[in-house]
Amino acid sequence: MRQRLIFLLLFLFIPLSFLAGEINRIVSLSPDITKSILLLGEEKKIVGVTRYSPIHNKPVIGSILQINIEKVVSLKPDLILATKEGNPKEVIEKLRSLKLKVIVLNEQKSIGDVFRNFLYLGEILDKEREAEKIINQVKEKLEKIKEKWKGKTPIPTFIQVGISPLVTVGSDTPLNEMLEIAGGKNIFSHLKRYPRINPEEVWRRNPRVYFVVSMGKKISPLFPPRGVKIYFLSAEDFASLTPVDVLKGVELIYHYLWEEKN
Amino acid sequence: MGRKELTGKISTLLILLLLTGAIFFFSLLKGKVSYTFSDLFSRKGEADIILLNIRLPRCITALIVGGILSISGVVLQGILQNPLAEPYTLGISGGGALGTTIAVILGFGIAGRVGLSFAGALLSIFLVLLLAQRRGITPASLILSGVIISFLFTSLVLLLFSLSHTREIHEVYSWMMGNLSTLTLHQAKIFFLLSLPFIPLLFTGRELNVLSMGDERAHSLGIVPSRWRLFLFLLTAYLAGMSISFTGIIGFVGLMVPHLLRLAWGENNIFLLPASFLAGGSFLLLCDFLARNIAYPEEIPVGVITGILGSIFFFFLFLKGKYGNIT
Repeated sequence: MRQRLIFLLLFLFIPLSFLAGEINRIVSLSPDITKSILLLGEEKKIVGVTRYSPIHNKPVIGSILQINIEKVVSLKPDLILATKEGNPKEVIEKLRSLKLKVIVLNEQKSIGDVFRNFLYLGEILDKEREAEKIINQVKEKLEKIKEKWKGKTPIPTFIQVGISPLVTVGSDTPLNEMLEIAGGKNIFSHLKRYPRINPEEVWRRNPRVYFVVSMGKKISPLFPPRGVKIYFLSAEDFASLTPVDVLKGVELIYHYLWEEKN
Repeated sequence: MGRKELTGKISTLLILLLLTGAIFFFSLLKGKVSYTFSDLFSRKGEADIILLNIRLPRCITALIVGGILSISGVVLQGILQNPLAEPYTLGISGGGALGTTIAVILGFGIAGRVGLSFAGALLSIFLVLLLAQRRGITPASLILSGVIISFLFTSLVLLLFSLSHTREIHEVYSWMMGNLSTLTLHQAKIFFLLSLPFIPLLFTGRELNVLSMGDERAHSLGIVPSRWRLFLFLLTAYLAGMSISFTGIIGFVGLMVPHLLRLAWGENNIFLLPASFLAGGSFLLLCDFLARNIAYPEEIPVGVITGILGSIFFFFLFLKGKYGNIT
């Protein structure tokens, strides 16, 4: 009986370790996955990336939504990494039907999710220790930031995402959590995800800080309350998050909240 | 038309005017934060901002856009002799959508989006005319050209979607559902000035009546049908194209309001035009009020409300067997 158990356990572990050893050609279907692989030092294993990735010498297989399946197949990947949030389900299923190995990472609704995905990637690439190290470093620094504003009241803040219509962030988004760690209080934290809201309510809730998150060019804030401090954040820094992006984002928000003498 | 009928119609118009005014002020003053009439004149702090900067531009624009879409519907149904015609039949929504999509992808702000959207609408009008005039500016050729150009532009929009970011697609998609929530006072002022050509359109009822009687009749009454059709088409297309540049695509108003009023008023365009303007303005004011208060503090796209209410209306109209105005 015990012999059988040991045999069974070995049977389970061996394929996993082989998995890590056999991965040499990875196609990443999302910029955050690409960035994470870079952080873990496995750049050489990447053979295909999406269009807006921070890497310039690798073949591009399309954008997050428009993936060129033929191109992906032609790169002969051992592993394709996808996200539930961004990549279309049909594409993932099609790739799997072609007998390609696809691992799908879950949505990132919180900083915890970002860490979890990063750790999981570390396991897949046999770089668990590196992943843990990076996460712990980030966690430490985040705690230090929390200490810096300890004892003070969080600053009521509004975050505008996009010009038209007026959209903000709700409670189950990483940006909301990042704001809270940095010492801000999202005036719409009682809502969820990315709600489209009535500008009257922004005025009624009287935030003291107003963040405008935009892609590329700066966009104007919509009806900012009188006397509010307005700061601009670049959408690229807050989408597709790795643990390091989270830290950088929190530091930036902290700086605007407490250190800018506007 | 007898004197009694005339007085009847004029007094109904006046009642409509008063009703529209009441709805306007209701929409302006009521909401999560409610004001009284006197607050309008006292200008204290918060009242100032919410009333002036957020609600006033919204309400003025809703009134005028609702009115413009309705009279556009009346005019187009008349010149195309087709009861299913409405402002978007002739392709301007596709052109406006293309302009907006390009503007969003290029990262333009509101001014750029409005400008490009209008340019797109103008381009589609130009192409429709170019195509139609080869066969003569007749109802059939205009409708056909409109459909062709609409398909073309919509396909281009979808092509651009396939090459863009999710956020960009969301913003354009929201625009396509209609949005009055982000209008500033400044934009509303500009819109108001640009929309003034609606006033002459209100007085084209007689010509529209004649055009609906057919080309031969029109000639005999001294009206050149193709020229008038062209003029009315251009004016309507300009007004509707300009409106959607500011507010996105708000559907059903242009289709529904004229039919509703014909049930009550009959076919005479001389009265149908001003009545439709007022009724359409009131309808959109109410829809916008619902859009911003039903799910407060969240906003529903106003086009969704007009669509749902419009569909329900047509459903009952159909059930009641009032086919007379549709077939």
